Amino acid sequence: MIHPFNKKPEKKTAILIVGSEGVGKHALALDMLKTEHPFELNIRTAGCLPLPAEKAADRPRLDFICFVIDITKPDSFKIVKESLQHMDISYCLGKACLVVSKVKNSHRSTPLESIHDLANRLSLQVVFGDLEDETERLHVARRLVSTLHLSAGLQCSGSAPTLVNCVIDFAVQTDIHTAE
Amino acid sequence: MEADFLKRYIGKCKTSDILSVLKKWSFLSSSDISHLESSETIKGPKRNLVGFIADICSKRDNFNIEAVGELDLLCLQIKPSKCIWSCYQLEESNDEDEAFDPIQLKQKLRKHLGLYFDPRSSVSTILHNGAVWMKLFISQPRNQKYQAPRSVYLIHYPHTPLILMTGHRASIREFLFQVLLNCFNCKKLSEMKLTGRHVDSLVELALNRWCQGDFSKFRYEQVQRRPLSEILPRKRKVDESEEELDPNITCENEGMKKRRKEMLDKVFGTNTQPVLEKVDFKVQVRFKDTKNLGIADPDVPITCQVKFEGPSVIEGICNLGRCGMAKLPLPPHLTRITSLAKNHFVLADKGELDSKRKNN
Repeated sequence: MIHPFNKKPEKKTAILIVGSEGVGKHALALDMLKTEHPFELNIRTAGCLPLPAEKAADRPRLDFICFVIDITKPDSFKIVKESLQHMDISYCLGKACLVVSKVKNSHRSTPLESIHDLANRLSLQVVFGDLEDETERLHVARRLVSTLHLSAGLQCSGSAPTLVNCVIDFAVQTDIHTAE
Repeated sequence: MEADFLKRYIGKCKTSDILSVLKKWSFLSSSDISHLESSETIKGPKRNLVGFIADICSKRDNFNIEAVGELDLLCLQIKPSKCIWSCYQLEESNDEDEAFDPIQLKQKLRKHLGLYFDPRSSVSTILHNGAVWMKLFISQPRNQKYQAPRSVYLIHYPHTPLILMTGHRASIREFLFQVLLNCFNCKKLSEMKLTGRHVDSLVELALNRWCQGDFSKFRYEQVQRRPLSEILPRKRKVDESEEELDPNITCENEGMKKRRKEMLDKVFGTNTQPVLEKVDFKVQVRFKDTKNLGIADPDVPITCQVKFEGPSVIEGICNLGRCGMAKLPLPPHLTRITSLAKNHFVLADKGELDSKRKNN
C-alpha cells in the first residue's frame, strides 16, 4: 500500500505513472523531462499496483500518482480500477489524477460515464489527451509537471488539497446539458 | 514462339535487373552483352529493350526453349516469393552414396518427362547456392499460342530428401510425381505440410529441424568456442528495441520484463525467426469448460479452423509475448512450430488421433 507520508521527503520529486502496457507511459515520461521544470524530477512507470515488494526500500516517496487509461482497450480501465484499491486514500486529496487517452477514437470499450463516475467518487482530476499524438502528449506532460509542482509542496501559493477545489464535478456538467 | 516466351519472362523483371540477369545467362556471349550495353535502347523504355534482346537471341542458332527456361529460372531467383512453394519429401530411396551429377539429372528428367507428357516438353536446370533449380515446361499439343503457367518449378538440394515445388494442376500431379520418383530413384513422395513464399525460410525449417529456436545459436556459431577461457567475450546480438535510458525514468516492472524476455529467448532464441506467411490450425477438440455446460455436448468433438496470417507469423507470436499481450509461458502448439517443420496442423484429443490411426 503506497502512502504519501510514510517516508521522508527528498530533494527530487517523484511521480508514478500507472497504466497498461503500450499506452504511452515511457513517451509521456520523456516529454515531461523535456518541459521546463525548475525542480528535479524523478519518474517511475508501472504496469499496475501493487508495486513489487522487492524494491520498496529503494523507492522514493511518491508525491503524485497518474493513472493512464486507454479508452479503446477494455483491460486498461479494469487495471486502473484494481490498482486504485492499493493506493492510500490520502492520495485523492490532490495527489492523483486520471489521464484518458484516445477519446477522439470512435470505438470505445469503456463508456465515458464510468470514468466520470470513478472520478467523482474519488474527486480525481481528469485530463483528456491522446498520448500517441505529439502535441497533445506535450500538453498533458506540461500540465502534469505544473500539477506535480503544486502537489509536491514546492509552490508557495497553494498545496495539494487546494487542487481538490479545482476538480470539475462531472455530475454537474451533465445536469447543465439536460437542462438545456 | 520462343521469342514470345523470352519477351514475357524478361518483361516481368525490373529494368535495373535485366542486364545482370543477361550476364548470368550462359546463352549470350560477352560481345552480345557489350553490344547491348553500348546501344541506345538500354536507356529507352523497357518494351524496346525487350524487343531488341529478343532480336539478338533469335539470330543465334541454338535458341531453343531450354535456354529460355534457364533465363526464366534466373529471373525467378531474383524474386522467388512470386510463387507459393510447397515442400515434399522423397522417401525410400534406392541410391546410396552416388555422386550427384546435374547433367545426368537433366537428361533423366527429359527422358522421363517425354514418357508421360508431350515430347516437346523441356527441362531447364540451374545450380544456385548449393541447390538445383529446375523448370519443367509441359507443352500442350493443342494450342500453339503462349498460355499461362504450364511450367512447374522445382528446387532440390542434392543428397537431401527435400524437394520444393510450385503449384501445378491436379490433372498432371500424378504423372509429375511419377517422373520425379523415377528420376530420383525413390518409392514414395510424401507431402510435408509446409508451404510458403520465402524459399530460404522453408529450406531452413525443413533441413535444420533440430537446430531451431534457442539451438539456432549453434548454427550461427554464436556460442563461445572456449567457455573456460576468459579472453573472448560472448558476442550477443544487439537488442533492437533499446529504449532511451534516461536516469530519471525507472520502470517498476523491470524484473517482470526481464523474466519475460528470458522465457521467450529460451523458446525462440535471439536470432530472427524463419518467415512463414501462414500458420493453420484445424482444431477437433471436445468442449471442456465445466461452467457453461449447456453450450455444447461434451462427447462430440467441435471442429474449427484457426489461421494466423501475416508477413512473418512466428516473429509475430514472439512479439505478442514480448509486449505482454500473450500470457507466458506460450502453449506448446505455438512454441514448437519451428521444430515441427509444418504450417498446417491438426490439434485433436489424444484418444481421437489414436483411434483414427488405428482405423487407417
